[in-house]
Amino acid sequence: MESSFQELYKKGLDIGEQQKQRQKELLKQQKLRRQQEQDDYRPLQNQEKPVPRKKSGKRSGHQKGIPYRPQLSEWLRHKPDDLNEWLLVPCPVGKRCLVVASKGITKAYSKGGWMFVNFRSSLPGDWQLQKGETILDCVYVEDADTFYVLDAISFGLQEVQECEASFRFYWLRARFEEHDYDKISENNEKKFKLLDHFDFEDPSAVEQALHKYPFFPENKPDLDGFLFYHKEASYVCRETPLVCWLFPFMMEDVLGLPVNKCYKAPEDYQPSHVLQYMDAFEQKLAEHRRTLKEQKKKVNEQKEDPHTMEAEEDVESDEYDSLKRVLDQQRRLELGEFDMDCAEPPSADGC
Amino acid sequence: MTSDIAMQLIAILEKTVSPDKNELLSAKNFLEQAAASNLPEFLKALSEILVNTANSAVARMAAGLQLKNHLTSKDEKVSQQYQDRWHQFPSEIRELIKNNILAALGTENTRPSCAAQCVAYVAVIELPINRWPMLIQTLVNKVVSEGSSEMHRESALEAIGYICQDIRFGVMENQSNDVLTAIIHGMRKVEPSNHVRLAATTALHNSLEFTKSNFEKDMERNFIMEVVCEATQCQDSQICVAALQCLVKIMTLYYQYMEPYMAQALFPITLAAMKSDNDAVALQGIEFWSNVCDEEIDLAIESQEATDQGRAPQRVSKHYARGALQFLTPVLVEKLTKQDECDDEDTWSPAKAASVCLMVLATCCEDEIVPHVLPFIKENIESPNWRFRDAAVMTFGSVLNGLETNTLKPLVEQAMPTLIRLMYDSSVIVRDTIAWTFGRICDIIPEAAINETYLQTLLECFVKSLKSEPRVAANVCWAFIGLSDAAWEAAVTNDGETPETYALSPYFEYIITQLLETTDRSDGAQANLRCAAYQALMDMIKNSPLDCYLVVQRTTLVILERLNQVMQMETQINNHSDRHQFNDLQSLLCATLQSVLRKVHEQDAPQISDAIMTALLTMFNSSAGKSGVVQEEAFLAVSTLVELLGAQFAKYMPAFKDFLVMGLKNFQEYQVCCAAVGLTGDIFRALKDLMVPYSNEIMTVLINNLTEPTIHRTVKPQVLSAFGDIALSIGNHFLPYLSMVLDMLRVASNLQTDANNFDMNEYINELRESILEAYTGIIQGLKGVDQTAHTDVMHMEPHLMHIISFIKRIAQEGDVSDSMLASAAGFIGDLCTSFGPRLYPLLDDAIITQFLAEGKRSKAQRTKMLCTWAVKEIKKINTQVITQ
Repeated sequence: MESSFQELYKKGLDIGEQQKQRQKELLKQQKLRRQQEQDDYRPLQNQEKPVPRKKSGKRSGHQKGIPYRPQLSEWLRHKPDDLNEWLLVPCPVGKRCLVVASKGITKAYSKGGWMFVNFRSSLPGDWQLQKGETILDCVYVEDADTFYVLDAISFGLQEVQECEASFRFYWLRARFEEHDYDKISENNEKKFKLLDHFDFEDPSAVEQALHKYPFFPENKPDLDGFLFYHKEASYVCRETPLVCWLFPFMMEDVLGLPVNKCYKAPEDYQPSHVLQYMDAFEQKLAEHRRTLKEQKKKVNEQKEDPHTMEAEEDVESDEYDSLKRVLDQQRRLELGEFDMDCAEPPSADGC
Repeated sequence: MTSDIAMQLIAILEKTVSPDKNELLSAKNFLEQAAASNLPEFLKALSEILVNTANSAVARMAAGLQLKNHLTSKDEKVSQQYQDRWHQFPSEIRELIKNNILAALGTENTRPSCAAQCVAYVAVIELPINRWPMLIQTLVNKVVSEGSSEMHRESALEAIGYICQDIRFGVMENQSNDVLTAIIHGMRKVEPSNHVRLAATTALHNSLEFTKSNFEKDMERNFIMEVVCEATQCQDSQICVAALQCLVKIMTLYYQYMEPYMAQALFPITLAAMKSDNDAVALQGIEFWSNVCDEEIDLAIESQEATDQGRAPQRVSKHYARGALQFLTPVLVEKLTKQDECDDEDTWSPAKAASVCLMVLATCCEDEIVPHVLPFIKENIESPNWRFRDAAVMTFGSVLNGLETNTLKPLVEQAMPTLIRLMYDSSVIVRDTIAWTFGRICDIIPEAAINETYLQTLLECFVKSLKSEPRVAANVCWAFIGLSDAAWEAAVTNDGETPETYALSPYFEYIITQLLETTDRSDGAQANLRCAAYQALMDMIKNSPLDCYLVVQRTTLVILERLNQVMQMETQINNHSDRHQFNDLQSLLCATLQSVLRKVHEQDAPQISDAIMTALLTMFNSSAGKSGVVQEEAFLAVSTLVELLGAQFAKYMPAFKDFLVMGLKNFQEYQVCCAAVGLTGDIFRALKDLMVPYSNEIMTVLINNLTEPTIHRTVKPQVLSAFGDIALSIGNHFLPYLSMVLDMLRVASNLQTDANNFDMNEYINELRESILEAYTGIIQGLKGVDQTAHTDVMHMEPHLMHIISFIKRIAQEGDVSDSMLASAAGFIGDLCTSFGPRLYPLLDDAIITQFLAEGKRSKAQRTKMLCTWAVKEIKKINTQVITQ
């Protein structure tokens, strides 16, 4: 005598069900990986808090973009008392980015965290050592298809994020001397040039650097400005007072260090009013952002959709494009640096 | 047919019951030959033997049986063939056979009637095409006519019963009145023959589905119910059981009409049946109430759905179960004490049925059941009589699922010490029941189990019980799964990180070791113990926190070792059952390998990947590698390895490629094929252009698969998604296949949904999503990563119109899932960044705008993000149009 209830008697572990669940889960993970891959190719803004990198290294299937952001500088408003504790890094005009070489591929991420290019490189993590990964803080110069390396978060198996700036720079220099990342080859599709740094403890070297013009051969790329790194500072994924910035024409006024005459100040710059200039600069920056936002809003209002809320995220991604088109050469030099020096980028946690 | 041949045939037929094997065989051969040489004539001859009352009973029965076996088969496909074959017969022969078998009804003096079966199986063929119009009337007359003999009535009713059982829906409905008349006539109390009453009652049971119109009419229904209820009081237990079966079925089919009969008739009848000492009767009584509960559970769900949607439900529950609860429970718990000492898994008994009934009663009545069962449990859980102890535990375990957490948690916590003690009970049956109960507790209310107070004692007794009888140990494995899930849930935080530690951390290593030992038990095949132990192992590993990582690492090595050991055992396999166990073991090990690999940290991967891949390759190469189940799990294991290693997997491709292709070609075992296709996508995504050398071979196989007519449909969406992965990974190396793939996508996207076929629609949605994923991968691959799209995207231009109308069709059909929206939006964005302003006219469409606007409001993060982005991109190209 059969009953449809027979299979419910002392029904325990349903092995078939377990297997089905397991396989469903695997399929789901596959789909997520596919989606993530496809999303990586899109210039999306990260809307959610990026998942902090787990020390254990376990991957979560839901990470969007990368959890790192470039370290951002503040204005150097006053000469530091301990100037000898600082390093000088001349910085070219270009696109600030993080370059990540991992699991056989190298990807470059904009300040906002979206990938804008991927390629093969001989950095450890891509071609060479498959173990570990390399994360470099760079300025990308498109015309030369070159990444100028400022700093690093990790290099191959060596994590340097917690290390002092002086060690990081020393380490990078050693690595770049060992291997020519500057050469294009089958394994290395783009050039990586390590930027020089100068120790304020050695005034003559600094002086030489400040008087050199053009700083980069044939003035390609242009020198944008100077970064100041506190020797003992570790790398943080956000704005920090331990990394500072000055335009060349400000060097004399803030630090009393003259620069080559060819570095011209803009017309509205007054040597005695450096701080005001800095503030005004920040204001112009904020206003420019607002304008961009409003322009977008207007375009949206022309369409019926009342639900459109143009996020601030849009502004950032468009900045680089629209600025290049709209602003003139001089402006670009000035404002092009706010690609480096933004006061309001999305914060990166967990670094 | 000459009488000589007839006599010969009769003689042969009589030999079919001979004890002599040789006679049997020669008879069988003769009959087979006769059938093969001229089937219509043969069947005609058989029918003539059947109808001739002068022939021996044996000969007639054998003839009837032979005839029946050429008309129907247990195998549906074969049955259909027989039916088609019948249609080919010359019509005179068909008519002759029909007349004979009908005339034979009632003339046999053996039971059951063979003629009845023959009539039925011919009727099943003839009635739907209206080629036996007199049949039903003839049968009815045989039943109701004055002076009709008992045998006539009985065999006619049997025939009616068989016909109702097997005929397809829609044929008998307009003759339901006549059929019911005959049936009721045969069921009446005044019918002198119990055989007739039984045949009639059985026929009623079979006819219930298509007598719906009769049940809708009050008077007819009343009459039917009266007759059925009367039959339940019959002294003959077979009739009683058959009548109760009718009540059970009526209750399920016609719940909403039962109110007038419940209190006065149905309740007392079924309650009395439950109390009966006759097992068959008791089973029906219990079955009745289990069905009532089932029905009322469904109605409660329907009611909730209706409330959620703000409308009135179509049908409502009458809460019969609640009403009867207090009367049912004492009877049920008493039945629980009548357990079989030697439990045969296949036999069904009132004791077993009662436990299931309590389960569904609890689900149906929820907390209301507690006061009715708790006293019994408390009183008997420490009884000196093992039957009562077992019944108490069984009751407890059965009602757990129905109770509210607030009611349940304190109950379980209070009972914990007693329950743990019971795990050491002297009776194996009690231990089995308590182990099962713990499995339930850990499944339903695990918070009570991982309570610190008892956790250690509980784990101790669990671990000891892993060495107990297989079915006890299997239930303990189930309990471990519940515990591990609960401990993980309690420890994990919102951001999806692996927690540092959890409640089981101090015991983790010990538990894993014991589970591994359990998987090694020689009696592991019993009660599915080995499977359960591996499942528990996998679950523990899946849910392991950071501080248990070392143990996970070590377990990886153990599994690897076992995999290698098992493969060496291959030479010792002698028979089917050995091979079966061997394959099972390999697939379990592969499955466990998957779960450990998902926990291994990236930096540790290179140390073990060589060993793992070597083992897997050896397995693919071995004969186990021919088993579909093993292959599937092995491919999934390689998938997890690829996820772990990324591009580092490349070094294994030369050795692995052939096995991958073998899997891809295996479209007959579609699950293997799907796993291989999924893996292919994973590999391409990880290795990117390193896969170029293999692309041609793989694309060829995949394209062939899609053109294969016998391929199972689940393979198709997987293949299309894989095309996307491949296109994205190899960029312009995909160009040679592009137009073929785009054509296939176009054809696939033309599949229409069908409003009535839910199953098909689910599949079509899956297919559509995979089409979008394919298009996305293709466009992204062609476009490249630079800001300006590569000119290769032009290859897609001719398809743009069709693609956009495909998306519009998806949008219009409504009820689009979040993930479909996201895929479509992402793809639209990609199209914008690839084609720029030229695309704008195609996208300037209210359907698309609305579609994306809806998506922007979605609560799903990715959907919202992608729709927002798509809208932005469309506006961008619109702006570009304006400024140009």
